[in-house]
Amino acid sequence: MGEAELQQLIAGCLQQSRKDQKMLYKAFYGFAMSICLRYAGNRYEAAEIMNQGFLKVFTNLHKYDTGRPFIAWVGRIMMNTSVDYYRSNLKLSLNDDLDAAEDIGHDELPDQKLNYDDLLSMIQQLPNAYRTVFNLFAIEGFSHEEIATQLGISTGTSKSNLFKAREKLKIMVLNSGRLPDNGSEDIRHKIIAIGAISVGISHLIELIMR
Amino acid sequence: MKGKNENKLDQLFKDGLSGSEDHFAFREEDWASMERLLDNKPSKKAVIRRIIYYSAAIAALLLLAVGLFFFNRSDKAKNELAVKPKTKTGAPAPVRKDIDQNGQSIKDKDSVRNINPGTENLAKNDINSNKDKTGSTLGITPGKHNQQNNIPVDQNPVNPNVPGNKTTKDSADKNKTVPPVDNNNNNNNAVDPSKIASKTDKTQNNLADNTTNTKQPDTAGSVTTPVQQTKKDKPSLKPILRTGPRFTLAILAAPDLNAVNSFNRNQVGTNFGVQLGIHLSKKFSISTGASYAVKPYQASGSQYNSIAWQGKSSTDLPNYITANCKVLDIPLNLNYQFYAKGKNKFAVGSGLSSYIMLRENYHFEFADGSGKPSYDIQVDGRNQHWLGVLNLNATYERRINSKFSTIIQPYMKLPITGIGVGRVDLRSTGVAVGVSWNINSALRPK
Repeated sequence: MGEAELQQLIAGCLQQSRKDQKMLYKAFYGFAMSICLRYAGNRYEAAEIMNQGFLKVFTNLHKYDTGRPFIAWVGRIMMNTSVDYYRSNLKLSLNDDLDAAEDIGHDELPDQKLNYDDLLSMIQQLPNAYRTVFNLFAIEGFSHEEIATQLGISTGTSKSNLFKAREKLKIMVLNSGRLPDNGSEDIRHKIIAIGAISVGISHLIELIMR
Repeated sequence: MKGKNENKLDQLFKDGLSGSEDHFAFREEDWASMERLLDNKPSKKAVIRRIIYYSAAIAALLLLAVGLFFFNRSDKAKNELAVKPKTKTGAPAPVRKDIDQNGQSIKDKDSVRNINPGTENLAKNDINSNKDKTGSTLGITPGKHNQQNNIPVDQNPVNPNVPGNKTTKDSADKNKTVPPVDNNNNNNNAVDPSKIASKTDKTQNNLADNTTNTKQPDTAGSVTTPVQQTKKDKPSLKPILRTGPRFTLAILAAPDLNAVNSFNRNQVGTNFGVQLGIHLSKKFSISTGASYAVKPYQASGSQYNSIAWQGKSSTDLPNYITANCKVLDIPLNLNYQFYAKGKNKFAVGSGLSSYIMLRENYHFEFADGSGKPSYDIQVDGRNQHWLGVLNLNATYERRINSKFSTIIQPYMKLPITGIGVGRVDLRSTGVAVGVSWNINSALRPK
């Protein structure tokens, strides 16, 4: 999208033109979604956050400083909206496996290429508190101090959440390489379980029939 | 070494996740919800919450408004109940009534005698003869005869001239004018004398003078009042005696708003179960059952009363507690149906619930400055709160067919005792939706 075209769209949105709003929404949909998905637990939540973000974009458009890149402004709003969305969750989420964050003894990551969907699903599996800190630190590049002030938590919590997030992600990345193995193991377990259940049920039916 | 490794992990995600703008195709449905937002329409979630709020508010209002009505009515119902036993005991002893009536009507008859002494003497003889004849049957027959027949038979000894008359007015007239010959006829035709009597009445009514007309109300009154009484009482007793209580079984499920102290900070749980209704009368029913509820909620440190925290300052208490309780809820409610027309029924009810806490999970989070780590606890089956929760509900029932009806039931559960380990004031409100099955409809055809 050219700069002139964008300025025209923004002007249209300022006039509350629904058509221009949709054009702008469409133009930044992918970009906004890619940010929100990283912070959200799933696509539905991501869409909800994104729409709330766009609402802020539309209602605060007059505040946008035209001297700066528009996309960065939108990205910032999306990030803030995401953080706000989970802010109430950051402290209160029933985080499980608090003790599981021990060193797992693997220092080297396999040199494998993971695609976007795999990485996204891994990051979405993290608890909200871990995911938010990991996003802000590892991907957005904020310091722990900045994260602490932004989230209203202590730097210690930020560090510990980042550590736990990394531990969990590391396990997931390492396990992703062994997936086929696990799969066959899983199937074997399933077959055994189904067999046992069917034997049990047949015995039960026999008992009942008597 | 480790730091490098972790940076590598960060890098993996940063590289893998950036530059993915083209990964997502535009979705029209997202724009549709965006448009709703732009039109300042609340999101679906907010709508659901609002519906729950409103229905709970409506239920509360209904309860308040109908509460007064309900209590007024219950007083009346008590009075009615107080009357019923009398008629029950009165029913097997109609003879006593008849005796009273005899006294009354004899008085009437005396006045009659003053007017027509000649006929009265003859009539008096007949009374005695009638008494002898019918007296023996009197004691036995009332139960067998239906009401209409009963009364004329009872009257036989009183007003011998009018043994079979259904219309008492005529009987009064006849007292004066009908010659004793009629009496004999009547006595002979003791089985069905009304026809003859009324025939003669019709012709002789015209002859009756004014003075006899003024006497009519007395005799008519003494005769008709017992008729009305017995007629009133019998239908009200019959349905209960004949059919017994009616049973219904309902399956209900509900979204549940849970909050501590006030409904400001609430969380949505779920609730489903079965409910057995015992309909004692048309208006009153008792319902009980069991439902399984998942109740997540949040509380502040001061709202959660742990023995371990007694005497500690508020700064030592956790900032927040999130809890998730699995509860078996056994309600016992009395319901009053205040409206029933066509397929629709409305009822309000109140009662007590027992909470059996199956599993309680708590997460304690301390303030950032305190340096205390957050921790979790889980308690299984330690707490039972027998009749510890007050139920308020309103029920709307719409009949589908003779067997099934749908139920919409807004409700509120307010604890009397503290709930769970923390003894918190855990309030719940919601709207249960379900299907009710009329058990009697299934039993009756067989």
